[in-house]
Amino acid sequence: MNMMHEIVKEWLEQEKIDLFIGYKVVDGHPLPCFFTRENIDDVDNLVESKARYPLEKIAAKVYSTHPEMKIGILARDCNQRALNVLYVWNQLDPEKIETVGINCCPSPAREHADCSYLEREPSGPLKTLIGIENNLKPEQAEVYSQEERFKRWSYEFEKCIKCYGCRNICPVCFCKECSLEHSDLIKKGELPVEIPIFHLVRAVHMAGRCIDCGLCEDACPANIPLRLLYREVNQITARLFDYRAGTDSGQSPFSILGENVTLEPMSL
Amino acid sequence: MTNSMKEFEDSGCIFVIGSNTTETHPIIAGRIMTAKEKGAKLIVADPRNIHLAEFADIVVHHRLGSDVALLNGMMHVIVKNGWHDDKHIEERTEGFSDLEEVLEDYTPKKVEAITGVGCVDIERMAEMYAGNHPAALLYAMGITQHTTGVDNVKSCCNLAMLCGNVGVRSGGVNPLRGQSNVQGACDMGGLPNVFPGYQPVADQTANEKFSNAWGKALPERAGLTLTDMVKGMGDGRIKALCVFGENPKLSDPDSGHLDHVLKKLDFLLVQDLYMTETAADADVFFAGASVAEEDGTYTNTERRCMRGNKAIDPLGKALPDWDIICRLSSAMGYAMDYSCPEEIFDEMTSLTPSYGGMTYERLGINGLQWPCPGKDHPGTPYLHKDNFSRGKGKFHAVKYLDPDEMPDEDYPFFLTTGRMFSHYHTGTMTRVSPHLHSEQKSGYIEVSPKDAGDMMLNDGENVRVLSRRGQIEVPVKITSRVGEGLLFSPFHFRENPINRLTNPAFDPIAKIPEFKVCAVKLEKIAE
Amino acid sequence: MSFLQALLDFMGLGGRLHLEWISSAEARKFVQVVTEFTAKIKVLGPNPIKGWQGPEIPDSLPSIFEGRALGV
Repeated sequence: MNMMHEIVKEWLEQEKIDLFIGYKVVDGHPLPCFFTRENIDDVDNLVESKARYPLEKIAAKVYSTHPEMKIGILARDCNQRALNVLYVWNQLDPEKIETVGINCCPSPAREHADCSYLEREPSGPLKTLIGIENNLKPEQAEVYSQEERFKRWSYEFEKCIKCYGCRNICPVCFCKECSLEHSDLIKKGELPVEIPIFHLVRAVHMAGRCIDCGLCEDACPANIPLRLLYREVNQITARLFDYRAGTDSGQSPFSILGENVTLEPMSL
Repeated sequence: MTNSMKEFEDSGCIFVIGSNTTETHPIIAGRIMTAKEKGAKLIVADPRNIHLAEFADIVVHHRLGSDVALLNGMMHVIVKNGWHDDKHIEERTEGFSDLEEVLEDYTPKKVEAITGVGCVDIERMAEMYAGNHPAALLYAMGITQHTTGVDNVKSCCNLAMLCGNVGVRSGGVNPLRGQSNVQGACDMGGLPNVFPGYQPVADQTANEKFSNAWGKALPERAGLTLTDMVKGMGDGRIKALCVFGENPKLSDPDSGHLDHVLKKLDFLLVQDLYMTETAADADVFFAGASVAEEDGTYTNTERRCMRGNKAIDPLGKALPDWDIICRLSSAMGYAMDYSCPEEIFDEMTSLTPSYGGMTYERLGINGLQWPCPGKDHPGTPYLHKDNFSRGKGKFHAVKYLDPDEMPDEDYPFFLTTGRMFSHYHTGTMTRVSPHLHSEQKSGYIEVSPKDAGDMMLNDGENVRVLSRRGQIEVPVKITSRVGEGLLFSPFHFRENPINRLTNPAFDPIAKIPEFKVCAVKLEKIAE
Repeated sequence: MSFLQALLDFMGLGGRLHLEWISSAEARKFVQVVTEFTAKIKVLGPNPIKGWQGPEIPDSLPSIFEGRALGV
């Protein structure tokens, strides 16, 4: 039993939390798991895991049906930033959340993180020639002319198979009705998805929310450089509104509902 | 599949024929795109201008049902130019001279006349496929659902063996299987002529082995295929039918005739997740459990057997499929008292050499690819590395035959059927999902802009489609995905049951119906 | 609006979006804005979204695979 196990058990026993969301190895693969007071010995199976899931999204689902429940979460830096966004958008109550932190994102003091994104294979020659390489920085994608940018991004969007994986994994996507599924906004029933509207709409909705966890790109079966796109979205937001989602407290500049409006918790 | 999905990323050339991969096997399509980005060549041959074609080096739209001619044409060019793999042919195969003789006839010019694919394109395809080793060939129902389905598959194998692409990593002949466990169902003897692991019922040793294990003398004669059963119901030889997890009233060809013969049955039993069109006609309906409600294994298209664990107990009165079958069998006088799926799995592996080395514990989360004959065997990512199961690979000299029904004056259009990305088969599961249903809410028929213009049809307008078997009404979708004279419609929608029109003619060996080709006419509905 | 303009610019659709508040009394301003924007769009050329016909796959590409030399 390690430190983490002791803390979680203590919290559960002292009723500081009712539920802890972490990882457990099942058949050799770490999966998200609920740890409870009733089954407290199971906490010994709690692991940090290299696999990443949006645990806070699971917490928000629990909160939407059990708002009284106190939830503990295993939180990397990205989970913590996502939690902050969910607090800002009233999808979770910070009073009800306790976190066990694990530091992981790269920083000046720590060049490499544990997340799978950094182990990405280098791009193939076709992608270099007509697409957008996933590991570019936003500035590097701006060396191309306007015409070429459009062609390169359209090539990437053309690969989309409309699985909605980017949205479904996204820790800060919580709307009850999703614009991506609105037939007046985006044409339905066909592949490729409508270019570039589908990805543009999602990018716009990431403004003031995206916490740069990279889960969307990890989940994308077509390897579209989504993280790069949303990083640019974050840079524009920081430049225009001096707002950084996940680290700055206060309402997002894109929250047209204002400070006092509570979004209804989403249903399961 | 002879090879594994991951391997496609390292192929030199990928040849996709008769598969709308991005819509029906999107994850495999992702592998193809990665290969393309890494420098692989991509050839797409499909009568429709599918999404994957956007990424291809060569795209050809061959006429429906002309696959054998197209493949023979490619092989003709390869042999003429000496691009074939002599060493592989010499060491690993037999029957090459017979093939060579047949190929002689399939000059690019002749093939162009049959397929509508230009001579230059045929030559380029041949050069690209032969010149970028290892080349993987991928196909789906566009190859198999024909009266010449078996011939089409043999031609694919011929091409792969000709260029030394069988028994190598990232090459092979790869039928993309549809259902999550259709490979597993076939492996388990879900076919009329074999026991689990493709051991023939007519083989005395195999028959004795299974008869002893199951304590009952088993028939040595092959059973009936689905196509034969329809005939049997029609002439009264079959009086009762059990349907497990299938909805033939929407998915079988010439469904008007099927409706008719189903009514002749004395007894119809249906087991399904939902009350399907077929289940509505049943005398007895068993509610089966869903994927989230039962334990067991799935064997996917790359022969990988994986465990599925239930998340919740079955809701309501539903039972796991294995439990229903055990209870039914016991009630009918043959006691099956398995306590869990693992017990059934262990019995199966003890009788099935290709699964012999598998246990639930060994499967873990990643599963194992058969053949896996021993407890220490790591499984097999690609087949036929050193030997074919029959020893040498046999070339089959295959000649081109027309589809059973070709367009004529009365029925001037080709109709082909298939799937679209948001729905699955008869929509039993996908049309009850609000997200998937909202993607496409009704059936449609794809019509080329030229044909729509000629008939003064507007996008979304209802049109009457007639074949020799029946007629339906369906909204028009004007799109350049189809060429002039060709129509396409998905079969997911009960309001527009396209299989009322399809041709029940079938392949003489595999008995698979010709879903992919029939002749129809269009009629504008008077306002 | 500035946000969307910047994002469109990043994706290669820069300069094609403009917002201006014009009162019904400001006819002259309306004419000026529309004329200027029309001239700007004419310089930019036709809308690339309509012109998008799918990626242009290049004929030759450095392959990381070793092709088998064809005995032509």
